[in-house]
Amino acid sequence: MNPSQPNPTRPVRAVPVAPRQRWWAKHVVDKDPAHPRLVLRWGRILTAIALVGLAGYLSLATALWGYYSIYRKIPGVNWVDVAILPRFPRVQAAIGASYYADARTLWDKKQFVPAIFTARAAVGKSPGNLEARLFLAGCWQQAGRPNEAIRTLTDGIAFSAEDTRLQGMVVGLCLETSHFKDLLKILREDFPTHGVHLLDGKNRVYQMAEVRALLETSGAAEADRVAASYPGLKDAPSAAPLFAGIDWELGRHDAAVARIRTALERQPGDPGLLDADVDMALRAGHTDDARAAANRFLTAFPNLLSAQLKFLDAHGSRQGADSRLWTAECARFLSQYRHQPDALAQLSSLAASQGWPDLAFLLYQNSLQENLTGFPFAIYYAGSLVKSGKLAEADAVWRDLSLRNQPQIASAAYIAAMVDWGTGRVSEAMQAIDQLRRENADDPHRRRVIEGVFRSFGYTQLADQFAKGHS
Amino acid sequence: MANDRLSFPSLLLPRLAGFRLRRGFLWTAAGLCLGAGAGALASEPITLDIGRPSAAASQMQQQQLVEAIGKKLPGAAPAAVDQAAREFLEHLRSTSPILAGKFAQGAIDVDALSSRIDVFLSERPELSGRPMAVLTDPKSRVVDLLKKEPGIALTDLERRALADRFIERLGTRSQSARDSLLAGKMSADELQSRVTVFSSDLRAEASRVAVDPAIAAAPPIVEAYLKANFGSITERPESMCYRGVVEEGAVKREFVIFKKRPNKLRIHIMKDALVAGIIGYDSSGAWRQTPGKAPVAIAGAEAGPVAEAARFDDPLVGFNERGAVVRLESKPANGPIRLRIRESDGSVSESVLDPASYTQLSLRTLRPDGRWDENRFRDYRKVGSVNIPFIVEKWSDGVLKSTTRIADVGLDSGVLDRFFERPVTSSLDFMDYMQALAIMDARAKSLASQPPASLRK
Repeated sequence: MNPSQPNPTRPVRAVPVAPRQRWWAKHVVDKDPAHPRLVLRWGRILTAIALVGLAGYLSLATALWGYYSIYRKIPGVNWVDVAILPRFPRVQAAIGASYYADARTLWDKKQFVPAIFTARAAVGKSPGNLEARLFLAGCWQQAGRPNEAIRTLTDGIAFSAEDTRLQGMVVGLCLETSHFKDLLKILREDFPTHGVHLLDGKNRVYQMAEVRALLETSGAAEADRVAASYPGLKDAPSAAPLFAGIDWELGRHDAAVARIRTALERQPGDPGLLDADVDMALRAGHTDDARAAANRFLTAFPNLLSAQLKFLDAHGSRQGADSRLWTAECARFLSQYRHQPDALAQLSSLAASQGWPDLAFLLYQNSLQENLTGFPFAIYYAGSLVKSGKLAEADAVWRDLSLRNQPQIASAAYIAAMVDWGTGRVSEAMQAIDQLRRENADDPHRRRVIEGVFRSFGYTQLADQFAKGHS
Repeated sequence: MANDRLSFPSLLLPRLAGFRLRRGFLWTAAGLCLGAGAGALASEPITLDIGRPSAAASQMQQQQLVEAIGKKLPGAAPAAVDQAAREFLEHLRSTSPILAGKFAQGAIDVDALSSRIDVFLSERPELSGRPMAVLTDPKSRVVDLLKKEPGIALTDLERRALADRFIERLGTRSQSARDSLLAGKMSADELQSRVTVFSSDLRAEASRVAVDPAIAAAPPIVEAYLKANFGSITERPESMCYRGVVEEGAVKREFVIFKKRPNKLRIHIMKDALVAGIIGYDSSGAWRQTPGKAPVAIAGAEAGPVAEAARFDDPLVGFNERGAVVRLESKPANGPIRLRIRESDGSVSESVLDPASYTQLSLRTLRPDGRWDENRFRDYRKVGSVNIPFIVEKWSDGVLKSTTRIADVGLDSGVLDRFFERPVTSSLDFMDYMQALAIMDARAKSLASQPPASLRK
């Protein structure tokens, strides 16, 4: 038998083994009764956890810093700003500034959509970056999205309410794009909420903006009442065109004309007053006065677009002496603004409202030649045909446009209504009126404009029907 | 019976409509035929002079005839039966004078008469008293029969076209059959039989076309080409305008072209950023205009190319509807696909397609003098649903004649039909405007080139 092999019949003697020590725990033996147990070293454990956590945090911060600084190459991102949480908004601001710079570069390269997205990201990262916000609003405006532009600016009131650029831009944009309800809310609620009371100051511009918004949304009487609460506002020459308009709406026609004349005596070279002078004379039907006023305006500002348009408007009979003057000025206008579609569109709008299909068609052809598009000039051309009573031609043009250009002509559904009405399709016309009512239920300014178009084109019954739905 | 006799002349008159106003002449002629004895019968206008029969016998035969025809035409009006009897006698006299003589003498066999009446009525179904309007129009009869032939034509318009073709073909094969048809004398059975043969021939012709593998292979390729380059039918633009430059050697000429379905065209030829000339086509006529001048019509041989250029669609679009035939000329494993298009007017063109992208690489057109003109297309870019070549090279006899480079394209941008019409005199004519701009530009340039006033002193 091999002695090295254990003998299964012989019992093995037990050897006491000391328990293995660990850094995070120790064994202790209770004396009575003797009983070994494991005790955790909490101090060491917590210290280790804290150290690991700190190291991890710093590693992550470093990684994030590296990501921003090295990978994304965003300038101005400091490690300490990343590592210390309260300083992290500085990182966001740096990222926002970087996006803003990128957006400007993209816009300059005419990559408009990426530029707008990048500018939105800049504003999102750094809402307090007013430069980026103003830039984004400008982009939206140029892209033909005024609602977005106004929303961008109003969101910025919470961060930069005191800034005069923001104040001026948001009010100006609302006026320019006829967002009068938004304008009233901005002036009366949004700015005051953040401690800025634009209407309380001596700045007449904001008070005039409010009165204008009231005129468009609540009517002349309400505008007149509110204007009276601002002492001296009505006497300001710059406010004369606005209050002349209110006077006119309230039926005080002579007062309206007199107000402009008085203001002009005080500020004879003011283009706004000269413009209003022609306008009032035309409204009052004082054709000779209008011609004289238009001549004065054009002489004072020969290259001012509004002066040129008013001149053409005042000499719009195109008969007798007007004919030569009108033709000469029209040729000069066409030559001067040949490559400026916005200016030509204003002339085309005038041609539509005056019923000059020859000029409207010429401008339409010029647009196709210059820009390979007939819009919006085709719509103005149709309008000019309606105004001049050539309804069959207008109908043909409208049907032609309806074939593939529904989105473009949808904005001028009132022309379709007039064409339908004029050609005896009364049911279709009433259907169009219903549609217009529904679409403009919340926009009193647009309703006023449409009603005014119906009346000025001689479709008073349509205007009454349209107004009836809102009365 | 007296009433029946009296009704004969009135039934006869429609057949002699051309002589209705010359009733006296009719009876004069009848009197000449009948001889002096017939003069007594002037008040009884039954032309029964065939064989100088006895009055009693002929009356009996006449009664038998009316009775026999009445049995053959159950439900027919007495007037229709009388008309049929009258027609039958005329027919008998013209086709078999001997039998007519026998009939006049009352010697005709009853069975023989019955069988002849059967044949006669089967050839003249209109005598059965059915409405005459449709049946008297031979083309309508053919159209009605073609409706029963499946797979020949889908619409009445197509059937009427086929009816014309049928009548034309009938005339080339049998003039008398054509005359019979046009006179409304062709029996329904005969016409049915001829139309059936005609239809069979049409089907055979169609099957011959269908089994031509070169023609059968073309439609799927054309469809793939259209899908790749023009999108779906609803997506395809109604109008298009594009700006570009044509280079002919060292000469470069700018242009703007406007096109609209189906074949409207207006070309602005540019010079110094102004329109120096317009060529237009408004589906009915071509015209041209230069600055400061009234538009003038383009006529004669000059108008042809303008009208041809005005076609909006590619030759492969709607070739079937146009009546053109497209054949697959070749489709090698890796090379381009060649399709030959033969228009209904006989003109021929050849389209070469890229087998991978299905873009058109070139379009060759056979000129009347037998030479080929070729347009080669490159630099395709997608504009809307349309794939447009921005470079077009024009080759003739293997020589590059010109290169057209497109700079800008607009689809469905509000181009009105009136834009293509020849301008009427207006105080604000577009070309007068162009001339005014040119004068102003020239004046501005001359002023700029003059030295300042201070230097002139």
